[in-house]
Parts: sequence; C-alpha cells; structure tokens
Amino acid sequence: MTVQRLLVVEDEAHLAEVVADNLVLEGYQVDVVGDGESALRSIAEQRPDLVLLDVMLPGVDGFTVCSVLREQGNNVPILFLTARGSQDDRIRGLELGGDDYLGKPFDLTELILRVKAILRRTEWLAAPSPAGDTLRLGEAVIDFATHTATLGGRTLELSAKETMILRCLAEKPGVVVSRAEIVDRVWGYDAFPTLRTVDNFIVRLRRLLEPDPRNPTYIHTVRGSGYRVTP
Amino acid sequence: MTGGPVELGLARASGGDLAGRKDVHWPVRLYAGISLAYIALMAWWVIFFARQDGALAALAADAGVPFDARQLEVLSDASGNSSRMLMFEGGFLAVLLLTSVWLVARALRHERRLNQRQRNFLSAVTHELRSPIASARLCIDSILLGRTDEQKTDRYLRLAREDLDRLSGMAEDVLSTRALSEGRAAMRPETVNVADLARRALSSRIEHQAETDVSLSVDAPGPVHVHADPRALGQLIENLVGNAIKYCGERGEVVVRVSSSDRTAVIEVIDDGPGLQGADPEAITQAFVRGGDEQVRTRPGVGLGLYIVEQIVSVHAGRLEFIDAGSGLTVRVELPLADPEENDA
Repeated sequence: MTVQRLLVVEDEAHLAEVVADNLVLEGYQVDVVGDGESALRSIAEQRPDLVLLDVMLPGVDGFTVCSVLREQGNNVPILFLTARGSQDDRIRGLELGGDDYLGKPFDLTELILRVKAILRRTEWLAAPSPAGDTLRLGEAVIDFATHTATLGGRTLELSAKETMILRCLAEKPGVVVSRAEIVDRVWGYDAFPTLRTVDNFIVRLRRLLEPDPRNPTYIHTVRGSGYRVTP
Repeated sequence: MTGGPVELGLARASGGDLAGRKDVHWPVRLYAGISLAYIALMAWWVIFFARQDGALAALAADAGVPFDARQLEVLSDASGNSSRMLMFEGGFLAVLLLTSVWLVARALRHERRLNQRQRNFLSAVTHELRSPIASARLCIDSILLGRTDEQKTDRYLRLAREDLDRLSGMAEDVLSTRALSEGRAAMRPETVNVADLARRALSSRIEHQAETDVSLSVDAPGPVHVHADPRALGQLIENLVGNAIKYCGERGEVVVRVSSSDRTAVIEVIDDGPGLQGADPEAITQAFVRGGDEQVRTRPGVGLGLYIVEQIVSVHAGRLEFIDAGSGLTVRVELPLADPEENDA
C-alpha cells in the first residue's frame, strides 16, 4: 500500500508543526502550507488524500478554499480544524462539502481517529459496492465510481457526499435507512445537528434526479425513521 | 466594552456591511422626513394665523368697531412685524431640527463603526484564545502520550511556554484596556531608568523566542530617568516591540533606542517592516482597531496594543508619534524627564 499523503493548512506555526509531527508519526506523508492560496496550489499539484483545513486563514479563508475545490469537481476529503466552534459554522462547513469538523482546542487522539475514519470511508467509496457499480432510478443512472449521474443524455457531476448517500441507500433497496445510519456511514460520527444536513443533501439529490422533486418517486422520506430508495 | 453597542454588535453579527449601512440610513431618513413635515406644518399654521389676524383687523375696521386709528396701526404693524419675526423663528427652528438630524446621523454612524470593531474584536479574541490553547494542549498531549523523544519534548515544552506567554500577554492587554478606559488604572509612579526597562523587556523576549529570526537590540548610550509607573512603561515597550516583530517579517530588525534631549526622554522603536501602509495613525491607536478585516486576518492580535500604548503615554503626559519612512516604521514616545533632584534621591 502506498503512503497516504495529507495536507495541513494552518497559519498558526506551532499548531501546524505539532499536528504535522503527529501525523508523520502515524505513518502519513504530510505537507504544510499557511494560507488559502498556497493550499489550492498544493492540492492541485500534490493531490493529497486528505486536507486538514483551518477556517480562519490569511487571504482566502478555509470555507472559500473548500467551495472552490468542490466547484472544480475536486472531491478530496476535508477535515475542518477551526477556532470558530459555533453550530452554524459546523453545519456550514459540512454543507460546503467538508467531511468532518473539529473545533480548537481538540484532543490529539480524537484528531488521529477522525483522520483515520475519513480515510477509511474514502476507501469504502473507492471499493466496489455490493450493490453493483451503478444505480438506476427511472431515467437516471448513477455511477458510483465516477461520481456522475446520466439523465436524459446529460451527465451530472455528483459530490463525494452525494454519491456516498446514494450508495448507502442503494445497498439496501426498498429498506428504510435511518438518518443516523447515513450520518454514521457517510460522515462517521453521531452529531445531532448533522441529521438536518442529511435532509438538505437529500433535497439536493431529489432536485437533480427526481422528475418531480416535490413528489419523489425514487427517494422516499419515511416519516420519523429515515429514507428509502426504490429503483 | 459593556452596554448596548456590544449586544447590538452581536445581534447584527450575521449582517454584512451593507445591511449595517441600511440600518443607519432608514431611521435617519425617517427622522429627517418627520422634522421637515413638522417645519412645513408650523409654517402653514403660522401663515394661517397671520392671515386670520389681518382679516380680523379689516373686519373690525369695516364693522366700525370703535378702534382708534393708533390701535389699528399697532395691529397691522404687528402683523407685518410678526411675519418677519415668524420667518426668523421658523428659520431658527428649521436649523435647530436639521442640526439634530445631523447629530443623530453622526451618532448612528459612530455606533455602526463601533459595532464593526466589536465584531472584529470578538472574532479576533476567539481566534487568539483558542489557537494558543489548542497548540499548548497538543504539545502537552504529545509528551504525555509518549510520542516524543528527548529533543522533541524539549521543543514542545518551549512551544507550549510561548503559547502561554501569548495568552498571558493577551489577558494583560484586555485587563489593562478595561482599567485604562474606565480611568481607574492604578499608576504607581517612581523614578525609573527607561534604558534598563527596555533592556529587561528585550532580554526576556530573546530568552523565550524560539520562532523567528528577528534581530532585537537596545541602543541606549546612558541612563534616562523618567517619573513613571514601571509596570505600565514595561508594557508600553513590550507592546511596541511586539508590534514591530509582528510586522517586520521573518528576518527583520528591531531596535529600541532610548535617548534624552533637554527636558524629554525619547523612546524610539524602529523596525524595517512595511510601515503604516496608508493606515491612519489616529485610527490605529483606538481600541479594537486592527489593520484590515478579521475574516482575512493576516497578523495575530486583537487590536488593543497601540490603544494601551497611547493611554499609558497620555497618563504620563507624554507624546506619541509614528514616523513612517517608507521602509520601516519608527514609533517615537516622548516622556518628561524626571526632576534631577529626584534622581539623586
């Protein structure tokens, strides 16, 4: 197995040094940059497997870095590390396509566990699904490997999270999958406010894939328990 | 730091700059509108009564009410006079009202600026508090979990120590800002040698500095005595040196020059940084003001350092001056020299 490459984006020199040291100790190859622009450059050149991204950065802030990456179709996993620990910031970070969010000050063990969890989930997404490589929802065909959906001759780009949610549902066709289970498999921890985040992602998926997003035919809400997909 | 503006600042924290401006404009416009309507109403009212007055006089004359001519003259004269007087009064009233509109607009503008500053301050404090705590904790965790060799342990303890210094510096700044702004900072003036004070401040910095390669030096040919609170003066020098280091970059040079002329002691903190970069020297000594926007913070700090410097200088009847040479900034502090008799004491 090749050594996984991580990028630490942090302008506080002490923090960057100690975080990087500890990740190297875990066997990762670690690069460090101190601002948003260098982060974007480094991600484009080095193609890291995971980015640890501070939110308050000189110049381009972390949220902007994340949304720029997602707009470019770059699905590199992102773990936000930030001093701004409010619930709103947390939700915003996740909705912008971040994979996890850790408020400063954080526990060293927790940081390492979360890094490993994100990398594991990414591997899960890269591995072939027991449900097959594609999911057909009426006219739409979703390809789990390329993160795309083909619908009426058009190809739509899906984000990593969107693909993971669909795959989560597709692996149990016709069975109700709870929000908590989706959160657990896609994000990997049980933080209550992120249950709302699942709903928002589902709304987005319906808008992309359902013929009539208001009366969904494929992605159903099961009141009080979760979601179910019927191909 | 207390009272309405803070709460308002928090409540509006999510609104952008544009929203803030709108907030100020509409009540002022409303107030101006009401004032103008009020003036118009008064004008109409006055004209109406003046006419009634005239009509009454004419009616009295027609009806042959036994007015003597003189009385009538007084009446008509009065109405002529009164219209002039009313015009003057109306004008005065209008000026008064418009002035009050201007005052309200100014107060609101000021408050908005204050809100923006408070918002920046809160955001900066959050960052400034949590970052060193996070770093110190991570250093200590790494050591406790046995993840460091001897060399790393030493290094991490040094980093944690610097983080604590940074935190304590900030706590000091916030506490003195409160005391200084409420005018209850207890100063214990005594005769102190500024040159010694500067050397002590710098040597403690050099001792604990692991991070940058900034060269620090004191240029003080002889002792310079002033009558001042040594703690406050130490903090003044600390803050100025801290600022200079912050802005002069990786391999910069900071010199503290202490000299005296005639009746004044002169402390100059000279750096080779970018200078003021167009910042207003008046503005940067206000509390919570920092260069640029907090969302794109480029330097550590919360915007209290220079405010404290300015307050300490003014408490000691001194003068503060920023000399921007283009390639570097000199902050010059002048303090009155201590009486020679006291020096001997």
